[in-house]
Amino acid sequence: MALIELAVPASPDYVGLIRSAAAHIAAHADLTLEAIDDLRLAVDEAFAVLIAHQPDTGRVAVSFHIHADSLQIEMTGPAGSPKPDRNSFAWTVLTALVHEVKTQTSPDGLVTLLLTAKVVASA
Amino acid sequence: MPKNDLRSADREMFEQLAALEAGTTQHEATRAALIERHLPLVIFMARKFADRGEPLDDLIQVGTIGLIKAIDRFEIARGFEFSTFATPTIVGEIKRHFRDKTWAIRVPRRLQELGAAVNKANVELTQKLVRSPTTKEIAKHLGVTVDDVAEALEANSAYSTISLDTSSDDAPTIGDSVGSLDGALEGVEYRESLKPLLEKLDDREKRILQLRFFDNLSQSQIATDLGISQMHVSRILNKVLIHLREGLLEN
Repeated sequence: MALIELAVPASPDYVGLIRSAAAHIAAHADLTLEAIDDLRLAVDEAFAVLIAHQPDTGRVAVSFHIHADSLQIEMTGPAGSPKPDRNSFAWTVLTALVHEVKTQTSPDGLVTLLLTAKVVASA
Repeated sequence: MPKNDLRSADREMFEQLAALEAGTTQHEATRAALIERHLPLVIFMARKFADRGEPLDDLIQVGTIGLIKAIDRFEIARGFEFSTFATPTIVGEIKRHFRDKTWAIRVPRRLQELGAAVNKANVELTQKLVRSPTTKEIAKHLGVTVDDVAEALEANSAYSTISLDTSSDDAPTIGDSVGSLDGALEGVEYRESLKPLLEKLDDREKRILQLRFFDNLSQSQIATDLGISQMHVSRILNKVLIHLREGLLEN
């Protein structure tokens, strides 16, 4: 189990950094190439959801939890970021890209997206 | 025309070309006739590279540059068949196009080569394992580190950024996917804003979107289904999602 944490300004300029970090970490977490590809798309989507309608203020905090059988990415948006609706297109996309998507709202109203990608048991 | 006659016709034209002074109208005409004559070879070679995200027309264009170089360099006295001589030059020119022009960011040659090796290993191992391989498996297969593979994947994704801009004119058309996508969107929020955005996608993009996100097929399943590579599916998905995300944000 390893934990990696990053926080970036809530601006589209930084999604590439998070995406690259996610892909690199996923590679070390032994995800398949296809799962890594999916994860890159999922990170893009989640980041976009969290910074939607935010005028580049605040930060997005991202933590990567590497477990033996999964990689979990926690992304917390800046104050005021919307909680994604389960009927939204973004939600449909996210749930197709990773094994599990959850949302949490902290007591002070910050929205967190939890994406879990499973590691396939490689022979 | 029997093959031997074709070859002797080639031979005659090249002899003629060699005898003519460069720059004269006759020389130009013979050269042009030779180019035209061998265009089918260029088209044939270009088609072999057609599924890599670059429009076929561009590949034919760069392949033709290779053909012209080959015509100018061909020495009949060496006894080669022209097609044997020209093929590596044409292919070389097409490959160079991929190497030089399609990288969004200038990626060091070492990484480009490693990237190509990773792609190849990906295809081989996917077949062997009947699932997508992990980076560890790729690294072991190539005798490199996981870090190398991660770096190469990153470089490959720089490649895809530009490939996104290419149209899929050469794509096989997949019919009647529009209606079913509409059905799939039933119950999705903002579908009224989504619809005009989806209409801008071509049939194949719509189909891939539906298969991946509504039918939950994996990228490689879709790739097999459509007869394209998984990397190509990934690029198309990325492009489509960016298009939809930006479009929705504007609303």
